[in-house]
Amino acid sequence: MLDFLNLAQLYFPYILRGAIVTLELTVLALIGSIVLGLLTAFARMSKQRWLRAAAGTYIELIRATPALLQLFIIYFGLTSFDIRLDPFSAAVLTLGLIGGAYAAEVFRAGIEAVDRGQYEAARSLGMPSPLAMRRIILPQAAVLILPPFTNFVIAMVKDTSLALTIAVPEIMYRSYDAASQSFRSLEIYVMAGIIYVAICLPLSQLAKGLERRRVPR
Amino acid sequence: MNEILRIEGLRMAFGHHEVLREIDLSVAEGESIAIIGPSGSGKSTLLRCLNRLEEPTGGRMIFEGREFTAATDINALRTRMGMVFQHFNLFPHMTALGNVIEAPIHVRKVRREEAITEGLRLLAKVGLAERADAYPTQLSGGQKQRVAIARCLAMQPRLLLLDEVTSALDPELVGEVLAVIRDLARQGMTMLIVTHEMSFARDVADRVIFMDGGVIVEQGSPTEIFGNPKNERLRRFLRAVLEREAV
Repeated sequence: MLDFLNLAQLYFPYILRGAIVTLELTVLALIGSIVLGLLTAFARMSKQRWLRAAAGTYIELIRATPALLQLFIIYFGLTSFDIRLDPFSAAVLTLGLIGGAYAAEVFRAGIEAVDRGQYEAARSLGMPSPLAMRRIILPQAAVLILPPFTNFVIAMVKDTSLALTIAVPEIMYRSYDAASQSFRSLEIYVMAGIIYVAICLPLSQLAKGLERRRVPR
Repeated sequence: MNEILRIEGLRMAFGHHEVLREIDLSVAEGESIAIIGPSGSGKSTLLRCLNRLEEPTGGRMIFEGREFTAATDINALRTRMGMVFQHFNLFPHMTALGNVIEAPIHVRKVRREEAITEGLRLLAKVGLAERADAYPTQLSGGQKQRVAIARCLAMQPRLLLLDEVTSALDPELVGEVLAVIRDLARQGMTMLIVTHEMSFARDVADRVIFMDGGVIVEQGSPTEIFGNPKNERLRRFLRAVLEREAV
């Protein structure tokens, strides 16, 4: 035990600094996911066939390939077009692209779960479609979306660990580094685990709370 | 009498299934028309086509002297033609008053204070002044439907479309909603009322239309339709419905 504490004293602050990078990655990728997810969700529900097809293709491509492959295409692959992203930007871009596809499905499910009569009532009062969406549908959809979206955020926190592979100094990268210096893999990765739990557990509690608070219509 | 709405040869099909076949109808200002008929006869679809919630597959529609075309501003049309639904469709995240002032503020661009004054007046009119701050879940079915009517009236429509507005209500709550509609008829509101309440149709409507199989089979004054029905299908329908009401 004392040994573990000594080790923690030595390496925990170093790994913890990775948590800041992990959170930065998460927040930036989430912002991208939300914007891209909303656009894609609306494209999926559009009357324009080509918009629906484009959004569908994007979602299916993301779902059908591993995240790591997407990251490598963006970071290594794009250099063929002379696009050289720094590791952090490449990770944010990739995670945002992946998140956008999954968020789109979460948003669409929430919007479609709002009773169709709500939209009809809004339209029959003369509200143009975007206004009906903003004032009537989205506020109701948000309540339905929040619990699955919180789970999505948790998945995003954990997915940032992929950035280890392109040397972004987040939690996993620093743990890997610390483990190879100290040869104490178990202890080091347990420390990393503690940090992930400290980030994710409150989020999953929040999701549970939101699920319970959902008011019946 | 001023004609407010005329439809000619209105048709509507879902795929190969024809729901409306050649509907012709002229509605005078201030007239209240009850539309009766068996379920699946196209009554509700007719109302939904008028409000453009369904796109008709053929025919012409002239509202307030202007023909509806692809270029017609559908939102402007809808502000002049209110619709009340069977399942109320109140906005659950807004209070009764919030429901009523929503469209005036955001569509008609009325000032908020003005909309509130008018909204409270309308809620009082449907007997719900003291429930202005209640959310839909806190209201009974009859109260919800009265709020929905007030919400419609807040847009100052020239024509009201009422789609089976009492069908989803507990029997003891039907009366309060019908009373509100009766009031509106008395004040000269033009209304198309799809209903299963025969006695209500009889004493509120200026004209009764019987639809079956997507066509208007017979129309006339309530006395003619209920007292002296000519068409065999109408007679059969009335027998079935009135028998049930008598039980």
